[in-house]
Amino acid sequence: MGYLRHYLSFYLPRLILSSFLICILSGIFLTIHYRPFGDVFRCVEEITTVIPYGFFFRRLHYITGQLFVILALIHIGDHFLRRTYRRYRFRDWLSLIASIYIAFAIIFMGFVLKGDKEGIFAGNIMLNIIKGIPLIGNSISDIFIREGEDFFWLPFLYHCFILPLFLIIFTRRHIHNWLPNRGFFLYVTLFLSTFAVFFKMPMDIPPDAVVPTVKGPWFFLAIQKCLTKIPPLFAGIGIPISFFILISLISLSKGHLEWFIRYTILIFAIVYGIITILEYR
Amino acid sequence: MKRSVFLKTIFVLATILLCIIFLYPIISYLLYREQKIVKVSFHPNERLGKVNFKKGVYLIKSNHNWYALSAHCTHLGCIVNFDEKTEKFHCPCHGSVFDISGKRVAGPANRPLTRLPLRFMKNGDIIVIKRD
Repeated sequence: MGYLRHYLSFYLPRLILSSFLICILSGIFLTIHYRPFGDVFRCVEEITTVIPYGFFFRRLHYITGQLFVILALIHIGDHFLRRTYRRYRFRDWLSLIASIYIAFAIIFMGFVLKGDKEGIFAGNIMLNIIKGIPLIGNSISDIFIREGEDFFWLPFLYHCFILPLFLIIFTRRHIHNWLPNRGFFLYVTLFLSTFAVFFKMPMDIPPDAVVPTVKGPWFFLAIQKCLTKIPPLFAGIGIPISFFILISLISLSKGHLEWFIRYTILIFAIVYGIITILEYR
Repeated sequence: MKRSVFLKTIFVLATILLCIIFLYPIISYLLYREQKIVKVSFHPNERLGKVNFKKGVYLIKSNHNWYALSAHCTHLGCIVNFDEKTEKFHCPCHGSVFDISGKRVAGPANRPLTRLPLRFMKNGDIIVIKRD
């Protein structure tokens, strides 16, 4: 148990940082050939199948992106269970929670940028959920994603520039050294690169294909399930915001209130996890 | 009112005004959007069946008349599939079902599929007009 705790505290943050840096590097390579206009699906397929080693950079980008958020979730879960949020100032804790939301937003935008049927539908769902916000929804949706020819342009900007910039700004107090151990980083790069060569990515569905069901990214599956039962405003915006408020407030709470928030978050996370696993199968 | 309080109030009001002056052009810039009208043209060869699909539009023949439906589900905008056996539209994202006239039958959508205006051309083409 002591060894596991040591591993989680020492290696996990380094692994998260390494994944993040490799993800940015592989993303830079992908950006060179990616065009967010015209036939985006074709462009992605060209990167994957025609351009030499394009498949490798795409797989590496996918693996490191997923690894980054999954490990970051484990990191937060570890600190949540050890109650280390008590040590943080509210502002710092809020920045860290915001940064994990930003990380999910980056992955979601990346999912849209695939340009396949799933990506286009995910973009449309996001657009319509935002449009559903009373009074301001129609106007503010244009800041995030737009219908028509420039459908992929704003997600591209958010995925490649705006959100990563915010992620770095929000985590700058938390991450003291971006490359603490170069040897470790090199070994991780080597291991993940080898893994990327043999890894099989999920299949892209052509935009014109007719398929009975279309699923969103794995972390969105529980919300997708909720969207079939409850109004989009509650499922798509209410649930994530409520969870954000709860997990942010825990650093301010004490005594019975802390106990209540802590168990509400735990139950919420377990239920969300179960729905996600059931929907993923 | 004391002079210092008065000056403070003026200062706060001036700051708010300045914020609005700076925010207004930013918001206007971000929210500007050109409304585009997209015309989807169906050549006679492209409408041989009863239900024909092109670029997010379903063109449907009913007796001797034509009508067009937007293929975007009114729940959250996914493109609905047409099932020829049941003659119904199914949304692959959240399971809404619509009949051939576009009326909602089941699922979380609460509005029918949007009917789109048609234009019949002299060369035999049917043009469906939709806003992007």
